[in-house]
Amino acid sequence: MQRRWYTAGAIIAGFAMLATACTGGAGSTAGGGGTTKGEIIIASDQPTSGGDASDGLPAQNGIQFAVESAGSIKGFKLTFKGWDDTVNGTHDPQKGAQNIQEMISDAKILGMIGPNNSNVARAMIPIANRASFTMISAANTNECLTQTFAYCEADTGTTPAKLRPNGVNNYFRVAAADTFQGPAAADFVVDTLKLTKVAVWSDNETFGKGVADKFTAEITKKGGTVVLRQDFDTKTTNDWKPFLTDAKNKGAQAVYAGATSGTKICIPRAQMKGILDAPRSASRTRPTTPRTSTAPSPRRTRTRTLTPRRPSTRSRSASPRRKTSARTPSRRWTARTSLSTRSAGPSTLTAATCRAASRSAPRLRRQRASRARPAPTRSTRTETPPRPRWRSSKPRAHPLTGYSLSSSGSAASRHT
Amino acid sequence: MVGSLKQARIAFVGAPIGRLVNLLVILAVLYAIFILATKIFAQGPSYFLQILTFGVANGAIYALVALGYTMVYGIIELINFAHGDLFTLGGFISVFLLPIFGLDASKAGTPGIILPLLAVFIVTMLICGAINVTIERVAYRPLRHAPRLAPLITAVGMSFVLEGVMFLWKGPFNVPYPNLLPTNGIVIGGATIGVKDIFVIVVAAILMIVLALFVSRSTLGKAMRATAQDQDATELMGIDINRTIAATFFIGAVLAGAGGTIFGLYYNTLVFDLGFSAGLFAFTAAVFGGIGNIQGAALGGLLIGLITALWDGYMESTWTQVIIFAILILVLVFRPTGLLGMRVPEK
Repeated sequence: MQRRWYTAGAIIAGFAMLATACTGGAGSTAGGGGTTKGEIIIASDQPTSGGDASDGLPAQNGIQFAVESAGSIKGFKLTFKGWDDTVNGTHDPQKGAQNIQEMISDAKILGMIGPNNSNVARAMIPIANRASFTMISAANTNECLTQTFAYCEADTGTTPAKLRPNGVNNYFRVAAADTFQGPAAADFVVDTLKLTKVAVWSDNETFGKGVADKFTAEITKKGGTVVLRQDFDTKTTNDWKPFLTDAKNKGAQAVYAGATSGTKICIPRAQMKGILDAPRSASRTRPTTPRTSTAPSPRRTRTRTLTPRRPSTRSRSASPRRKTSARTPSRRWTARTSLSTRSAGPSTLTAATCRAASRSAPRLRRQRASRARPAPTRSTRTETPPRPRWRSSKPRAHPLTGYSLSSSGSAASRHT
Repeated sequence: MVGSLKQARIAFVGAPIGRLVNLLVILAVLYAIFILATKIFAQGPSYFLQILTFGVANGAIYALVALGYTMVYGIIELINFAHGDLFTLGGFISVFLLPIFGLDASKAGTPGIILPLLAVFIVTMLICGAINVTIERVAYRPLRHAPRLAPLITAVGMSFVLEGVMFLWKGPFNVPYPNLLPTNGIVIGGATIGVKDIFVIVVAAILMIVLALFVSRSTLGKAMRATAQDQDATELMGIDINRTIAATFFIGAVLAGAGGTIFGLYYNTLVFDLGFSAGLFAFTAAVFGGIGNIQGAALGGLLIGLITALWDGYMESTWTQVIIFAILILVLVFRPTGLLGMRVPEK
């Protein structure tokens, strides 16, 4: 009997500790100067637990870092408070709606950064709109959140106008919508890389399938062919080798992946080694060796050949890139590729999570670096033209379109 | 074979309402096999060989995990849901041990990695074994005589505990696993059989042979088989049941630890919730081959690996899981005890 009491006591003590830890971790304060007028809280809503945490946690760290670095504004102290929209290990619109109601009820909260997922945004926007509460998402890409298309009503059950009952917009985003991401990668493959045969796979989720479909449509329009198209359940798939072998057999020159780091984009990337090896680019035709060694030299070539850099990227990422270039070739490749995915979404660093240890949020490192050493050579104007090699005859699709093709052509892309 | 044909005949002829359904199912299966065969024929033999290699390598990993499920089920009729997470934990432990034994990506493919890698394998397996024995002692043994649902739910809970530990340890991200094995391979008939594939298959085969010999020849193996048959009678014969069950958990976890390490070396990535999906498939493999049957688990794992690879390689990968579970259902309809299953007495 006594032992039972001990057990019960231990369990209660454990819960108590857990509760303390949770309340302690939820909000944290920043010590900024000149905080006379009061406090402003910047909230965030990200999936910070469960399987989605690989996207949500770095994002939340980045937001917290930015808020705490700013410290104060016009005499108000800036504080960060994070919400988690995960239920049962995955992002949940209901939880998102509940979170935003909590945020709105706190008068100190000025606005929020998030959410990570478009379906969560769909639930949150109307609630926030009625309260004129500002939302800025770094990762939502569903086009129907901001743009009106004929299919929006049928596909998503709502339209941008319905999402904003108030009539005044309260929702902003910095990531490019699906309608730009997929086609932009297709333009890049056809116009710049001069490749026509592509194998496409997706993670069968709203975002992944969406961009993969739009990529397919665009590449077909441009006269290229999709030699193989598959959708995977990435929760249970670990082996992409049959797909890659099939792609190779069907003459694929590149592989486009509609997926994210959270849906295992790194695994097929690693498995391409030995199956689909070298980049096959017309501008730099290199014979494909059946089994290249892991020697650093081809990898360096690869980076130069295949990593597109958006104009706006170059200015921001110049200094950290230089910083990392002193490391080993593989690391350097990582840093470059990841940085070239543009700055907006903290959850976009696919190539980085593929190779380097990805525990700390890469965004933090990058911000620190760029803050400490502003790019010495590049102008900070966003209109800086890209290197001539990248200049295609057509103008680029959209100023917001950020994308990257990692060495064998899989797209590192932003989230829904 | 004769038995299964007889069962098929009974199922086919015996039930008048089921007849049409059965006919449709059989037609669908034949159609799928026909399509697959045409595609295999069209794509040529070297591609087929290549796909088979991937399938066997995958299947070997599934089989190693399935063995743990089947052994534990065989002895105490508990579906140890935490087993898949123990497999992941094995991978995490080995990725932690690699630098301690001086292994990193710079030594990839050199002969110098063999001994340290062997040491990593052994230490990982021992740690996994110790953890599983502890889990058994703390979570399952007190519930040995409780209703069967209680240890089952405890196993689910244990699975979440292990996932939580790994989440806290390495975070939610894909953990990179150094690519230590050589990436080259042998070309046979147009198909490239990688050193990695051979490594996976050989290591898994060695472990399974050792296990089979252990269970059939050693005293402890004999005790395990006796315990699986009748716990009370075994106890009356003077065999320490607790020790035998602990040993079963230990061996299952040893195989899971080896499986996790092999998975890491083969795919070069791990993630904390990998055990859920891997465990699900391994459990399916165990049921497929006949749960409680060691050879059955190995066969089931191999078959699931092959089906996955064939379907991914020739058909729509979206449907791979549907196919796996459809085949599982068909097998269970005609052979409720699995392919090689023995009838486990209901208690």
